[in-house]
Amino acid sequence: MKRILLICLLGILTPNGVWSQLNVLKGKVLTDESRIERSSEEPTYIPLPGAYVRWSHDSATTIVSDGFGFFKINKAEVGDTLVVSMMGFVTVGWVYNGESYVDIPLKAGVELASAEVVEKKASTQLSLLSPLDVQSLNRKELVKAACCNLSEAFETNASVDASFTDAVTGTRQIRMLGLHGKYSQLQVDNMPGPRGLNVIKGLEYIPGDWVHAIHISKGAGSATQGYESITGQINVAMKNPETADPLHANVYFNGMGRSEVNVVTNQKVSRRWSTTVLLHGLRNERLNDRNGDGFLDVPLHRHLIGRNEWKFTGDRGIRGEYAITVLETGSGAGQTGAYEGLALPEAWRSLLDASTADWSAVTQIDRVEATAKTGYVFPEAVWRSIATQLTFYDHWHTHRFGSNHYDGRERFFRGNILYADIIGNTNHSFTTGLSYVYNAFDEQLQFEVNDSLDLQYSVEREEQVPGIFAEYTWSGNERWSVIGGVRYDQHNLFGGMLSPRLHARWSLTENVSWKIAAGRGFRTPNPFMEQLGTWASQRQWYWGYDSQGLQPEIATNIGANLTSKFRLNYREASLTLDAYSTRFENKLVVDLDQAASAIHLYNLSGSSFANSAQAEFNWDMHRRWDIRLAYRWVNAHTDRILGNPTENPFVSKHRGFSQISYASRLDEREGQWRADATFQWIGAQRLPTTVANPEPFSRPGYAPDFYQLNAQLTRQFTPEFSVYLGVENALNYKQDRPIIGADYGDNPVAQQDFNQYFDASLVYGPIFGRMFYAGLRWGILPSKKNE
Amino acid sequence: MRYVLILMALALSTVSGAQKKAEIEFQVSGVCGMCETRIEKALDVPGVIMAEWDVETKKATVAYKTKVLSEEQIHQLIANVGHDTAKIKATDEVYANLHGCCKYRELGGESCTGENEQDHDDRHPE
Repeated sequence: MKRILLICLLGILTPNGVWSQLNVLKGKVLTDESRIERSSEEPTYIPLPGAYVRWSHDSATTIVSDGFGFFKINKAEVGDTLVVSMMGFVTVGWVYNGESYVDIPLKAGVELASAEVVEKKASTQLSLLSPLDVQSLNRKELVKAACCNLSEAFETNASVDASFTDAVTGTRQIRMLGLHGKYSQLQVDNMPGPRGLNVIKGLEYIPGDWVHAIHISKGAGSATQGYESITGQINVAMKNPETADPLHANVYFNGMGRSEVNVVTNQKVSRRWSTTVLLHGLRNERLNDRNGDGFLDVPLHRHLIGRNEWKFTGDRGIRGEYAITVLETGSGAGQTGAYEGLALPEAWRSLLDASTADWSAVTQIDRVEATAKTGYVFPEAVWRSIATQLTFYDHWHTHRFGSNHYDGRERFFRGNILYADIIGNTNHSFTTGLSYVYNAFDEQLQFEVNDSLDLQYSVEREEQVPGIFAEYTWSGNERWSVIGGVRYDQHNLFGGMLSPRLHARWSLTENVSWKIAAGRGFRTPNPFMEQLGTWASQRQWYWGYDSQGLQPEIATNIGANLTSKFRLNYREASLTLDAYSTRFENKLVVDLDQAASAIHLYNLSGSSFANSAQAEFNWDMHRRWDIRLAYRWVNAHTDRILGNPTENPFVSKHRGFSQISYASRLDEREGQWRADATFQWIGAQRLPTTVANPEPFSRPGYAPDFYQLNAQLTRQFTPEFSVYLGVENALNYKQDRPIIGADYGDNPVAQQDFNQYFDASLVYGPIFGRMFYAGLRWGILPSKKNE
Repeated sequence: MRYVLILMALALSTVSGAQKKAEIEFQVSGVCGMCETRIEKALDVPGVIMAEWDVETKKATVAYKTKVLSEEQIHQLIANVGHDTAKIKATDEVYANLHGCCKYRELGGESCTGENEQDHDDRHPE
């Protein structure tokens, strides 16, 4: 706290007589992290709305900074102290020296993401101060590749691996620390994000142009946000009334026939209420079959998604964010013959129930989601706050893959009450609270084994999980900070579960810090949706867990991170090294190796672990050039019954990553050229065995390594208007014969063989070759005073 | 890990060129974030490797290639856009064109309002 005086001396002007007659002190509260993006041509302080400003001697009058971080307060005597505070930031005491205007920067303190009703921290790339290992991708990073939706946004990130689930539906899944994305906790605005039945598909339903920033945090994470985080947390901050421009529109087209439109508008309705409306539409109705295997390379799609968020900023410490999201999507994949001559997209719905002579896969997903966050900060004690977070969604997923049907519905409710306070002084703070989760599943499955036998199966499950949690943060020393948390959840099916979490930071110097993380988490598996890709095959499902019942997946994760910032050739650079290890106490093992015609699911007996290590180097090489180099190593094994290979399939042990970015000098209209290229090497991956299959229905046990090059050129004419042109998979690498059972021109496949061997789920690389895309972004920026 | 070391070595080798470089530090008058932008932009010229101005300490740190530029030229570049440096004073003409809130010579001039460039943080460029 002694340093606070040092950081509050921005923009001091001693006023002359004219200004001091006005008996108010005006000012602005902003972040102290001026360099959000190193390549920025401008300093980028973020204004902090909702900060509390008061005179130290007058605790009755507290002013809240407005939407621009701006405040007005009656003047006091020279020498009095102005106290400025905000959750998640270090409270500042600023000595009044007779000014009429002041800028007060606040230093980000130890962040309790959950307790913040509104996320306001500057999105630096890497934080040296937070004990959490967080990497933040802001808008500038996100627009480097035309990430149409969240599932594609990670293509240019080294920490998260993205791959396809299968060769027909175009669905992408992610991996973190070598493990399936289901073991990471996905959040939207710090509330539950894609999970449950939506765990894979949900990533597609977060349009890239709706996203303000993505925070990727490795390691167990905060205890206040639930028990489901094992490998890490990915928090997507959507554009909201504070971060969205008055109007933003984006259109996108690609060489596969996909077109997209996004519109985001933002409006201040009254002094206290403001609202953001986000709309997204996507369609792809072109039949693409470039490799001539009779299957669509990319599915037919139609998405409509809308979101509306309302934000309330009260004068007396009450703040709220209320959002509703609805979506309606349909997609069709499979053999082109199934769609020829049909009037798209009307025909899709009719194809949901009736199977076609050609193999086809049709999916329809509808969803409605509502979230409410309300927080109250005690005016007389700004470190004390109480907040409630409510989430509800109702999710319907219906699909038919070949002659197998799935009809699922999930209802979810979570209520979280958080209370934050300090013990004695702000060096010791804590958050504690109660949570309640209700999650109901109703899944109806129908498998056609042969012409005369249909198997029906249903999963009905109702989970009720009351929980209690506490998290303590110690930040009494600049060199050290510790967040220790624990939660206890009483699960109605699995009994009591304890999830301890620990994060600590130790700064060796101002520019080098060590972080360690350890924690335990658990989740309930939903195999039919988590193994979405397996539906695109003739594999029969075997539930080996029937004897013990479905058990929760429980794992412990420990890790360490070393972040250092330094100068290289006078310019800023950083090097991050990290290593994480995840060990499962129980896991729902997905075994694709017992037979090429089966998927076996059973509870773990033996061990399952994933170890990973990563090195990432960033260098602001030149004012206009940035480079990033990264290497990631993973070793993941799971014991299987029958002594099948233990190495987890579809995991590349090695991955190398490099990115180079160029941004030209801003011209007089703030126009700019930008170019970005990402080159990656993806190492060999083990594939589930198909050796028992006769030729041409068998594939090698290991996929070859391959290279990927993506590049994008952006021309920004003004900050309001830019166009971009890009290429994905510029080297035109395509997986060799991705679909088992498809005719690759060598020999025709008999229907009987197709029925026996068809498998489109053994995908390790791109299906579609080189793909060009283009788009434009146009918007209205907040009004700006003329210079 | 060996791979990483190789990458690092590669990165380092690209910068160990034989050119002579120097780093200097000096006072530059200014007020706010807009001034910082203006000062740093003025030094966006060939020969300057890195230029930063700290709004709190009013200190400019510049690394440059001594064969391309001289220290005086660097001071002149800053003075040309209206900011006084430890060695060269900006002309009154250029100074007069500065935005009201950046007029460091007049104590208590027009204050920076809430609507200066700082509001625009990272929302553009897209």
